[in-house]
Amino acid sequence: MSQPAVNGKPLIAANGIAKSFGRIVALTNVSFQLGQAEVLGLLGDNGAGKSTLIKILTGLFPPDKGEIEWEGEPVNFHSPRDAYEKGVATVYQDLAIVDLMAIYRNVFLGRESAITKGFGPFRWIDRKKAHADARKAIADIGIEIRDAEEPIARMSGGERQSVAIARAAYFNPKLLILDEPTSALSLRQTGRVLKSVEEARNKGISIIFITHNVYHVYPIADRFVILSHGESIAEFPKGKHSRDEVAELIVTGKEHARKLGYGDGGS
Amino acid sequence: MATEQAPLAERETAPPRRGGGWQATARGLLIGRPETGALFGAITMFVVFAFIAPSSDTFTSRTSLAGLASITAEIGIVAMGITLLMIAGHFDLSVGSVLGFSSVIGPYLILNYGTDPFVAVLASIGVAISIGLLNGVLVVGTRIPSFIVTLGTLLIWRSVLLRVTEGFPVAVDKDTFVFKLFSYRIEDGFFHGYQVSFLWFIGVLLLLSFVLLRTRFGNWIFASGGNERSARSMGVPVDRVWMILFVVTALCACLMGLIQVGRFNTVEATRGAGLELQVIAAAVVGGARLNGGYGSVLGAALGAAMIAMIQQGLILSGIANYWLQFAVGTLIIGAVIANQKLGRSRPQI
Repeated sequence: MSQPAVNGKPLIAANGIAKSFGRIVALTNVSFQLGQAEVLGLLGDNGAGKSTLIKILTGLFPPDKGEIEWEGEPVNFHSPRDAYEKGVATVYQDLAIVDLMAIYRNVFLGRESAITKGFGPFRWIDRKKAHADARKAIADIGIEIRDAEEPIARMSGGERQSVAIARAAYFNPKLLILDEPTSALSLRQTGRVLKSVEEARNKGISIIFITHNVYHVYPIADRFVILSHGESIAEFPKGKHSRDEVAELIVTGKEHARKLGYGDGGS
Repeated sequence: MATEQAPLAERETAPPRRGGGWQATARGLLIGRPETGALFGAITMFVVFAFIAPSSDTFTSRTSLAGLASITAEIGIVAMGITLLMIAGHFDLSVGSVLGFSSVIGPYLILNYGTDPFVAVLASIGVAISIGLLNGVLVVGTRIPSFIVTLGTLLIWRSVLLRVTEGFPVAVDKDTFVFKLFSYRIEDGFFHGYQVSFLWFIGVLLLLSFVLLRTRFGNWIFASGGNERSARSMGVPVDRVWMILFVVTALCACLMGLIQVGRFNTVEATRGAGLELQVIAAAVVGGARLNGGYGSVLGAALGAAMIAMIQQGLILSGIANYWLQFAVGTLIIGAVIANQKLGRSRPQI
């Protein structure tokens, strides 16, 4: 597996990102950084700018201001595919899975060449390999599946989320962005997903975990960034503030952050 | 969707749910597969007709079976094509008109312009590809539901066909070599007495099953119909999948047309009318889901066999032909109910 060449520099750093859509200001000043095999909890209430930030990080559109550094070099992600090729994988809220399809078919959807054999244009799916590889991809993030032929529809919400994470992690990205992976899940299911995230980190993948619920991300995050009204108002390592303090910070925003000693822009 | 799950600890310590031996194999092969219902249905129906047909060997005689195979082959070829399209989330109601139009073109060219039969058959195939492409372009380009688009092309091509033939049948010499490729009674060997169309049927069955279950394109078919949005965001070229499948369906209709040209000697202007209902019935009986994402090529073939058995069995049992559509109607509803019961472990639809 390729290790991100970080050399002491963060894998990704955002500096002063701003983005407006016409007169609607989505992001005014967002900065954060993330090292190798770190989990960053990106927290913010509804409307804080989380979705816009993801879209910038995955190359859907460029920022108006500010810059992104990737492995220490300034970078532009021109498209989702460009970002993906540079090593950014994303699991969106809708998971992009097909419920009626078998687990292995979902894991390799759109990347079937990883499980086909044959010659020239005559290629077919190697079922044995497909089953084994799908099972391995999912085992890598700590879940045993009974049968790779089972349709995804038969899995629980947490397992489906985990399969989506497994699929993204299997192709060895450097950065994995998870958009609200636990928002629709029960407590037990959430625990299962957190375990998957931990396993992905143990593979050396850096993770941005986006959520509005600090209680979901607190157990596994190494650092936190709080987003409020398009601004990153605080960035701190785990342990500096209690969960309840973080929760309050998300709701109360900038004023509270000042009291805790964070300046404008959170740097 | 999300079913109740056993507590986490319990599930993690429980051994894999695999029993041993043949039972597990049988379960794995049968339960939760789209064609399970059709398989049991076809076997049951065969046994029933074998018993109620007056003299015990009528239904199961070689002549009867060969007839059965011939009807199954013709309906089945189109049913299998349309099944792929249905799994990918679309319909093609125009198959009957495509069949009529593409199969009249060849004989028409031979009759009126003395075209070489080989070229004439290529022209038929070319027409089918063009019509399929047009269906695909209209559906992909306009985003109008394929049900509507192909209802339109159903009427349009039938009308053009009537204009071209002016309502008269077009005759063809069926002893021409190229038509013998599609329709020919096999005289010896394992299949003696059978039409060569049955071999085409087997060929199409194997080819389309392989494509659906064992290739990247098959994966794309399931994904395009199961969840178009997800398929697109994983990079599946959904529009291309649909275009190709409209062409495949039209080609299947053309093949059935060519088989019938050779079998009947003539093509009349109403050839293929009503075919769409038969083939969609076969596909649904075979386990295809109307909203896409689920279905089976083998199931469609078995569905076609059941429709053929009803047609032939009723006649051989001396039951009035009035009951034909009654029986097919009952089969469709019964099959869908049975599929839902049998597939309890399959995703609810």
